[in-house]
Amino acid sequence: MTRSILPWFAAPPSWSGLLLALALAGHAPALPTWALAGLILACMSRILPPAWPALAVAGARLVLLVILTGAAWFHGGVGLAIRVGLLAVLSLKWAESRVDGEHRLVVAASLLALALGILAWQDLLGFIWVTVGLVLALAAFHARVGGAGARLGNALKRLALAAPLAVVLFIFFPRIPGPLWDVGYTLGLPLTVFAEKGQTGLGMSTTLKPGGSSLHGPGSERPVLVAEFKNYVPATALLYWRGPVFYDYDGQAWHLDADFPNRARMLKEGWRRSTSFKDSLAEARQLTDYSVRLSPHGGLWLFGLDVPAGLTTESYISRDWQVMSITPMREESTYRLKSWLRYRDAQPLDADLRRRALALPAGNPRLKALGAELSHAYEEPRTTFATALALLNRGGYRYAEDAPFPGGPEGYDRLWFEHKTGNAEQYAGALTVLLRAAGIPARLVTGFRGGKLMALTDFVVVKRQHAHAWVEAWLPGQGWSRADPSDLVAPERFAGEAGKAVQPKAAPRPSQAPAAAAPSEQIARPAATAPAGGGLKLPDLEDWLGQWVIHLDGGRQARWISGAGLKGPGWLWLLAALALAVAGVSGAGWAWSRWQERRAVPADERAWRGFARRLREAGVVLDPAECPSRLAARLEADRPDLAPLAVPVIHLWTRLRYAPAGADTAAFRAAARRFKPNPF
Amino acid sequence: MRVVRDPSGLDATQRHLWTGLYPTPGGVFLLLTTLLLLLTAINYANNLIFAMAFFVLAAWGQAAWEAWRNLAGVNVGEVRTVSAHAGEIPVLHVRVDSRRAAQGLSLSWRRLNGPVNEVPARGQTRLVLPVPGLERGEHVLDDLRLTATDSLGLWRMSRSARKATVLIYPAVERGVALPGAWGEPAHRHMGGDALEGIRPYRPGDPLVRVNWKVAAKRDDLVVNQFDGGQGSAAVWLDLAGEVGGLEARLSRLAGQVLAAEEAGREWGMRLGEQCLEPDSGEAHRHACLTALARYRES
Repeated sequence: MTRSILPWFAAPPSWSGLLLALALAGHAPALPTWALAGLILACMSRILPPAWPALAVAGARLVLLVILTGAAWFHGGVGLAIRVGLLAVLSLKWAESRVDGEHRLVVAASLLALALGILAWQDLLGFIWVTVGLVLALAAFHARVGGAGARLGNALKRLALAAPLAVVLFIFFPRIPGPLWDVGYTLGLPLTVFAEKGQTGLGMSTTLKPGGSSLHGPGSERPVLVAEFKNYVPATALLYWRGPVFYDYDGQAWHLDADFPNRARMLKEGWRRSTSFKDSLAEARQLTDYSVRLSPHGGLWLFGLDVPAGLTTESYISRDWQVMSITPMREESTYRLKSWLRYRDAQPLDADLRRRALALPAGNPRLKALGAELSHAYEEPRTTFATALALLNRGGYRYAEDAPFPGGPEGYDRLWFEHKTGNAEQYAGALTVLLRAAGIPARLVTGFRGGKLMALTDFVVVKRQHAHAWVEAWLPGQGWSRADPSDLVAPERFAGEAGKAVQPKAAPRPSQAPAAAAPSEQIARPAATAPAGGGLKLPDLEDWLGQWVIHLDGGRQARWISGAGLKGPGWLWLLAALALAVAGVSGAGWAWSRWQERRAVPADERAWRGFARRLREAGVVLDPAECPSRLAARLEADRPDLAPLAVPVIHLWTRLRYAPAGADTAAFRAAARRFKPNPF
Repeated sequence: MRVVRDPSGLDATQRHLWTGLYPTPGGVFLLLTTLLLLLTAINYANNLIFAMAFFVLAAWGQAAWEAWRNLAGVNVGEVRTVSAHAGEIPVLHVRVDSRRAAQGLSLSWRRLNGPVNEVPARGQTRLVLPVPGLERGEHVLDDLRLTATDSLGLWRMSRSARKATVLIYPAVERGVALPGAWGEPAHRHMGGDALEGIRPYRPGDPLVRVNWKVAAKRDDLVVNQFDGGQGSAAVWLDLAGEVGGLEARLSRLAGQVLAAEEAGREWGMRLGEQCLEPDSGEAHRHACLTALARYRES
């Protein structure tokens, strides 16, 4: 049996076919059965009789390709059609490949197909797939005569020799997180490529209708701004990019000031200079310096971080602490801002604003009753405030981005008391209503929170999906203070990139929710939960794989860099380390091969060469064609200083070369080694 | 692409010859694939694909080293002039030796690659390169290269070998009749088989003509020279005397040269203004065929 199969494996089609089969198997779970059968049929077309006319065969293959792709289109849309189509093209190409070059093409394309197939396989099985795929690919690329054993042996040898370099590349290659678009934005790709102009969506819209915005819909990946931080990048959970601030709720939607955008009034109520704004703060710490590249949105908001510490040209700080532009942002623009990330407000609240920040339209009676109850229970507004937050924290609420809003005049009531499932903007609205009912002036702030930290760089990309809403309550002695319902309901949401990377599919509910006072510090620790790996279970190897292979990411690399005490962009350090390591590995490889080569030379000849080298160093001109006895004679005549030591060596060598039987190898080697004309 | 000095011990005039290391088309394709893999890995932040890409990339780089090493210690021996008749495929032979074992060696010229061979450590091997498709004439293959690939066929290291000359004689027209003794005979008939004297030995002279008695007293060989060759008039082959196209006439002359040699006759040849005095033997045949190969109508 084996005897009859082995010759088959000596031919390239078998190896490229095996690799193709492996790649197809990787895609199999995601493909309908008929598609898989079609692909196998495509491969089987290889065994069509050669007597068939070439045109008919090509036509049949084309028909198969069209049918498969079309069926996939109807069955699963464009995505499946592309996948099935490409796999079909690959299978058919293999079926018609006859010469070595074609097989190489199939092998390379199969490697790509295999990579795309295992995208979702973050476990041991994926690792096995990749390993087997690499061996098959290199075996298929064999360019020497030889059977299956030779191919496999050479493939394994090549992989083993490539391993040190591959490991070094793997460890040090900077893992700036994808997708490629984000990397592109970081590098300066125009943000307008995908951004539509206009103030729609949470964080930009001038009205806010509860439940009227989705962060998951199309366009959620569109960039809003790209921020580059100077000196250090704060934890993304601390980044509140401030947009529209709402006071007025009419029972249906939240609205901006009636005369918005009245520039004269806004300028009057706001601050033209950041220094004068700082005077209104009791405390301002953690200064961050950053530049923002903003996609055009047509509005006035420059999305400064809470709270502004430095302005750019043509901008001012509004009454509600937003950084505002004098003119609408209709073109992509870059500007530099500064902000205090930790602050305490010390401003009084004027009567008009207090009235608006306490106003409640008709409706939501139960929240109003709860608010009244809270205000009666606690004298101190601060305690009332904390209690309201604690209610949200411990009330069994759940966070769901696409939760439908109950709607109607009792919408927030039903969210709070019945549905208990909502998103940031819904909870923020409900909390604002509750606080107002409890007699605490409150406003609803929208904008963006966090952003995607491009690990190893100082960039944060803020996208539409980072739109956020939070609450600010005015407390005596503390001024406007932030409360973020999302941190209370779903603390894991802003646990940071590291936390997200290892987030299991079904996140266990944190039994002990963090206290309301400083949620971000509490949750900044990543949840160290093991990934829920499917497939084969080999705990140790899988754990090792997870730790060192699967989850080696930019965050971890950034920690190495900071752990080594290095400042500056991490990717540059990594590239430097990569270059050094590659040079080191290559140098070591070169030295090893030199050593091997030297070892291949017999010891006697090595000793003779060393002797000849030292002679040369002593100034004796050597001619490779010269016979040793003549050299000895020449030394005796010309170099009496060297002759006493050198000539016996030469005689021993002559005996060794021309009368090996009975020659004293050890004596020759010792004498050759002893010959040191230049001891200094 | 690294350019290294030729380590084969060529003389100074040949030192300028370049050596180069290039990826094969397959190697370029694999590199492109690797870049796509890398982009995929970055896009999906997938470490398994990173690992795959880096292993392929490392194997690719390692293959370059392997290809370079295969050729680095190889010395090229003498390349002899090769000749063949038009329509035949001349085969170049080059002897190479190497200090260390080298694999994947072949001779190549332009797009032609000879069969792959290997040299054992401290051994020799002969590389061959069939050069089909050459027309009649003298071809100097000065871009003859010695190439080596790695075992995956991703890289090709090549180095200029010494130049080779290929002579393509005209095709041989078979079955041509020899022209009769024409015009002046090559040698005057003084009498049958009379010894005229001796002359130095030339390669191709029949051994029976060697004058051993004289040779025993001297250091070099001499041959007896007889009047009128084997007693008959020399045949004169003349291009002008034939009809037809140039190549056809040359073919006929080539056939006559072979026929004359086969018949043991002496022959002379006139090619336009060029005249080869009647003679016989391998050297003479070679001279005639070379003249035919090089002949250009003015």
